[in-house]
Amino acid sequence: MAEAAVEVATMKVAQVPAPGQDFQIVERDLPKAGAGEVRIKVQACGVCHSDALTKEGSWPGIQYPRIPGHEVVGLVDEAGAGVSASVGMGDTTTRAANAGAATSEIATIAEFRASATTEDIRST
Amino acid sequence: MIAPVEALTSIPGTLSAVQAAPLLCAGITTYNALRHSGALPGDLVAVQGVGGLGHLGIQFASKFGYKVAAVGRGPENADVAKQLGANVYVDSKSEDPAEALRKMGGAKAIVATAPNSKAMSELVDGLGANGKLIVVGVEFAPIEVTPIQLIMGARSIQGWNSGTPADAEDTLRFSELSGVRPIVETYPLERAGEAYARMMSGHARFRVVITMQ
Repeated sequence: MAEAAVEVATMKVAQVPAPGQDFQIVERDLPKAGAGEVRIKVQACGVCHSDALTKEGSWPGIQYPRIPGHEVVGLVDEAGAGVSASVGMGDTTTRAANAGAATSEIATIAEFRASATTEDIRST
Repeated sequence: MIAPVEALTSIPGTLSAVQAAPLLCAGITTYNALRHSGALPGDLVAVQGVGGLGHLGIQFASKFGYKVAAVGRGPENADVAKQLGANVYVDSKSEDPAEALRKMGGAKAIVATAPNSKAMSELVDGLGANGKLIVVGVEFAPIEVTPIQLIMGARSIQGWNSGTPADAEDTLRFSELSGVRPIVETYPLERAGEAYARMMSGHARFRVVITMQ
């Protein structure tokens, strides 16, 4: 299973604790990529007017605390089962907005504080 | 963050992270709305709003070869709109934007980016024959239009909702090829609240981007 170094790692996130409340900067455990998923070390994230749906709570049914953001650029730093062949570690990537299944986990504006081994590797 | 692998898009190495990020929603949305608008090179196309989406929409419309009319509120964005590629700037505070577009023959397409339903309603009469108002700015108030406005000239109103990862890749490739780039204000993650407030103010020039480190 996971290495101890990853299990204790955290990331810094800007989250909305509840609809309409101010952003909080907090540490969260570093998530693991599941089957068919990748973990992305975020480099930049645009702030979109539609993030107001998350911030102000006008999208029914979403869970809080919530980390908004969908204009994400970063590096793949972990590939889950079944994806390592198609996505190289260190590839520059994004998650596009409204990309069908992509909306299953809305979580960005995250800063990894772990010592990612692929840091500074960037495809050209 | 965790993302499904099918949602990933390869980003050209010539674009920095800060340059690429706004292309992934604001960029796709305007690029995709314009390329599916039915307008052909030389057609009059209007971009309403000179903001996060609009400043990219003006650039794409110009690179597509349209005659581009930027529609903004007040004179302050006239110069930058023209620098971004607008052939004409219409100040909706000082003139009726629909009439201004009609005088130019009517727009084949209007991409409405500013989240202002009243301003969108006022643009319908600026459409030419078979013209289409494409709504991308998010607002909750209703857009008002009469049947006769749509029937005369066979006009239509359509919404547009960004696109797929393949569309994102098209947007990035086209931007790399054509030189379309966002103008941004950056904030560190720790100032996310301030960044959000700046975006909501409508005064950011033009897209707010949060950076790490």
